[in-house]
Amino acid sequence: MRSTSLRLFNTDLQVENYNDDFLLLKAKDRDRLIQIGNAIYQQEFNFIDEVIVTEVEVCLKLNKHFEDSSLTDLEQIKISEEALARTFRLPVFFNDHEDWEAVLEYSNLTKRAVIEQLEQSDLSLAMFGFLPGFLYLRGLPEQLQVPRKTVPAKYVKAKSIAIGGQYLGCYTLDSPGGWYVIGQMPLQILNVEELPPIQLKPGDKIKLESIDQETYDELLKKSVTIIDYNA
Amino acid sequence: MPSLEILKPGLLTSIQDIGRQGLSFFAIPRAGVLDQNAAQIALLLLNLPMDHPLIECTSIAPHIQFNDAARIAISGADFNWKLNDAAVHPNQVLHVNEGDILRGQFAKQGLRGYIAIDGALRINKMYNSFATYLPAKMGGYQGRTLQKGDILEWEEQPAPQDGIVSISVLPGPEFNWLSNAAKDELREVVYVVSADSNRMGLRLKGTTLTASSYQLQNSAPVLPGFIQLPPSGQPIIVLQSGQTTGGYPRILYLRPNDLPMLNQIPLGGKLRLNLM
Repeated sequence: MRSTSLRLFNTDLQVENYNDDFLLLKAKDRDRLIQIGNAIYQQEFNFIDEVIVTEVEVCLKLNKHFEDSSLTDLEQIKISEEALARTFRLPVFFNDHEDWEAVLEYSNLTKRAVIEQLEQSDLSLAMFGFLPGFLYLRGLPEQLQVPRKTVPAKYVKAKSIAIGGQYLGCYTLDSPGGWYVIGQMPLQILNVEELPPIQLKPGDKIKLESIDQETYDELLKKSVTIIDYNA
Repeated sequence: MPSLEILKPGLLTSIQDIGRQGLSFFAIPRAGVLDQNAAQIALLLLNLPMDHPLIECTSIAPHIQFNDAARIAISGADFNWKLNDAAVHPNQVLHVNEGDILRGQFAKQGLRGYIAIDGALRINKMYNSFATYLPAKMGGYQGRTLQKGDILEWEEQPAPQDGIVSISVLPGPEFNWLSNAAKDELREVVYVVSADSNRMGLRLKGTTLTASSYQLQNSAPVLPGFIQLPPSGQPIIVLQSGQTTGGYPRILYLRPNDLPMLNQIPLGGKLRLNLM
């Protein structure tokens, strides 16, 4: 691994090159790193096959077109500021999932107080990952940062909302999961027939809204997308 | 060193590969195989990389005597090939024995055919390619077509010992989280492919590797071929349907080109991680 530094948009980036197979970009400013990762993805550089944006690292999978001078091409990227200010409301039906018990015990709060805290939290999309459509939201109050389960549940229902460590997660697909499920969201997030399959971008702000079962059922039945809901 | 001898050269038999790229500027042509599709079939049959050299035959096939056993593949035009006295069809792997003679006649259905050998041919690269370019006597076997009496040598690919497949790996982002003992053990451990493996990940069973931590603070990017070390100390190799982020340390990785061989190891099969 060779490490170099690069300055992009007044941000110092550390670039780790793993044998020209992939690069890992790191920065102290996490928001900036996410913006830079998004912008690199949008630029469609010919020497990059895959871009994975996380809070701590941006991974660029390289191909044979990569050479050392390609790094200077990264300086072409443009960051559009207006695209970053979007806020999405995300309705959640906080049902009576059995995982609530552990959340209440850890936080030492009532269910009502937990929901209030969640509604007041300024959450944002930290990253995609895990599975298609899975959302990692950050900004969870420390009191609600319940450590992950030691033994992951074999089955978590699609559209579950769950807490795991510092993240609040949205499961778009049925999957196993090690986080504590606290509710269900009725909205469509993933559309695999379109590109991009998800309209959200890392960095987008999310506000949770508590809804009752009736509203949940209605939104679910109508297959409302997160974009339509916020239109 | 294993070798073959050309008994009859055929019409225009030369060593070629994918060709040399990017030198047109200096009026140096690409050269290389004239039917890339056929050549790639022969290389794929032997699991060889696409830039591996092979023998290109044209119109009249050579007669070749193998001085040693070898795995070869033939592809392209049908030259009515015979291995000793038995007819053999193109597009297959042949296991030839010491003293066997491969001979072809006139090409039917096509003009050009390929013979690939599972081993590193002892010829030199020119401008990063084995392709023969006759006008400049460049590349391949002394820059010329193969002639009667030419001996072509190759280095045998090391056969898997006791059915243990060797997989090349490189240090990953959290390689230094491994204990020194684990780094040493890596070269020795024989892993078994666990029955828990699926299209997302290949789980290995073997000596437990110890690390300073088994949990990243934040989920980080993961690509197919990355090797994670969960708290059990038993590595997991992320495969093509694997997750794109993960929270376990990424101790090693293997290159995409090595995934096909890895993914053919049956459940219960053995492998060794060969740290480059």
